[in-house]
Amino acid sequence: MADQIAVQIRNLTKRVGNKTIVDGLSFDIPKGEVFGFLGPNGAGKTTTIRMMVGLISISEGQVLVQGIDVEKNFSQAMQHVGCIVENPELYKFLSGYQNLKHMARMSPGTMDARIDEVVKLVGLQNRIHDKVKTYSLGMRQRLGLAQALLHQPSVLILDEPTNGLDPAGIRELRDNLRRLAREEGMAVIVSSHLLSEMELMCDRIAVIAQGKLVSVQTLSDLMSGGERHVITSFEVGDKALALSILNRLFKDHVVDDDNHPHLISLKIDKERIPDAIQALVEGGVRVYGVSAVTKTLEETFLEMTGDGIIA
Amino acid sequence: MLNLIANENMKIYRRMRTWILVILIVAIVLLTGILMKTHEAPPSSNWRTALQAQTTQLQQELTQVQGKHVFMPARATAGMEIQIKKNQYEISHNIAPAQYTAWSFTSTIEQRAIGVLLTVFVAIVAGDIVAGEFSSGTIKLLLTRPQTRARILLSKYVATLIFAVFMMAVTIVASLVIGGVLYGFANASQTYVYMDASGHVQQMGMIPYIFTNYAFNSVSMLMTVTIAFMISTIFRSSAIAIAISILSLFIGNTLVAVLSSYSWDKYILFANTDLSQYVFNGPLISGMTMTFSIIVLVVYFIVMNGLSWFLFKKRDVALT
Repeated sequence: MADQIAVQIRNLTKRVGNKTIVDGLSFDIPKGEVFGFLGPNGAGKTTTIRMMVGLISISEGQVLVQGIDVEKNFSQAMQHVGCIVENPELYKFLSGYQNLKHMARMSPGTMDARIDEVVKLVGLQNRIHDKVKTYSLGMRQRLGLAQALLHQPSVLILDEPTNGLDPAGIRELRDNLRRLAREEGMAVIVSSHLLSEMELMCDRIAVIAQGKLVSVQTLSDLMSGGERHVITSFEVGDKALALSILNRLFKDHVVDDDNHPHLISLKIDKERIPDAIQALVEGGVRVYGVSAVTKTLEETFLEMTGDGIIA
Repeated sequence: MLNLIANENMKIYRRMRTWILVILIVAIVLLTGILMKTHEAPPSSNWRTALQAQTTQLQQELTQVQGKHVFMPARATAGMEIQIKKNQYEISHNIAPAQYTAWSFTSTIEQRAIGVLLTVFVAIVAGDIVAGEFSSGTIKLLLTRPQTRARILLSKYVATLIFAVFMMAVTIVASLVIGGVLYGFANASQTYVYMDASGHVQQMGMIPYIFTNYAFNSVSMLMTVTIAFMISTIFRSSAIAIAISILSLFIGNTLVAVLSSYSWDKYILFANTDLSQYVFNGPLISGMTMTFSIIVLVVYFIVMNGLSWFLFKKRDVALT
């Protein structure tokens, strides 16, 4: 199992002055997983990622990439890491190809043939010799990804990769990342403050708030939230009659949706939903629809991170 | 390391800005040449007689001074000796006064027109090469690759020095070509007459003189590059780095003059950057020697580069 772990984070802490920005984070990221790093703005996501790639010094704790300490053996560790921190950073006055050449020269053992390979991978063959300043945002994102993949890293770290991308661009990036994790066994680490993206992209998500790890869960665990009570909404004909029936049966569990003339919500065990339907039907209420309202990831997220008060 | 320098070179020479600076240099040399040529008074037919007369008069004055009939400071007599030697050279080589050759044109361009400007242009590149990566965010590319920060900084330093040599070469070639076209390449053995630090009159070949001047200029250029690098790593702003290093170039000498009443004046960097003072004309502040200045320069060089290196290595690349 140990050799399946690509990145280990141990008690990672960043202090600036007497403020603790990142506070004792610990988690492992296995190969072949897309790992999401979720938190509101200012939670310490970017600081953590910058510590992982050596842009910011580590106050305490360590980051191991393929078992190599990033702080102690920076050069060796970085050979395994490809990253895009915030935006894809490019020299706009150079062509796409020259940008890749620039990158290749800094990574020992990267051959020119590999440049052509990544250019094909991101589908930029036709424009690679044009200057980057003529590229669209989507093309820049592709070139940024090509730069990060150039030296065949086993760990890909992307900080807010979907910033500024249109829906098609986001979808394309998502597909690329999933494929890299699945087919090449890469560990992909993605940070974001957007839940909807994380839902579609990641296998596991770490939620952090105010520099602390709130939870690390698989997506399905996170969404069910481990709760037994489910909210179920009933669309009925006669709301007043339905309310009186349900209040008798499920006292305190009825959530009356005042805004809607035909909707009533119940917070009960899944096993008791048929009882509720039966009681309504027998009481002469016409039932038009029953739907389970699962708690959204967003609600779970807000619950975990508090209401976004910046400490 | 060579790969990193190749990268920095690519970023310098694939940029329009660099070539604008090159074109500017050539344009200034050309314009200066044309202006000098058009404002040149045609040599009068009897310039040789006039020169001879002036020389004879100067020689008479000199003998009077030497015979203690007239008192004159040593520097003034040296000035007269220089004038006599110049005149004699011009008469014997058939060069009308104020007539340029490609060689004297090249020397004049360096001294009067381009010398400081060249340093300014190098400071523009030096001030931007580190700070520019921060403002564009591309520093993150450089610092997340398997290269130490020291190597990244060194590669930028070396690339800047290569650029400085390149710009000097451009100036020399442009001056020689334009000077040659305007004045011809005759009299390559022309000499330059000057007063040395101890007040004696000396002469050296024009071509060695040109290279001596460029060599002394590159010392002050090296210090300006070092200042630009230091400011770059402190402020991470190209504008501040370029402004301060260029400003230092212009107010440096004034600062030394203003503070001349203090005994520590001679330890100021700018009192020492111009090493030509020990070969031509004598030192700015009496009592200073070439060895003293070289030691001061080396100390400044080590301290400023040490500070750049330390800051570049240690500081976090935080949110942009």
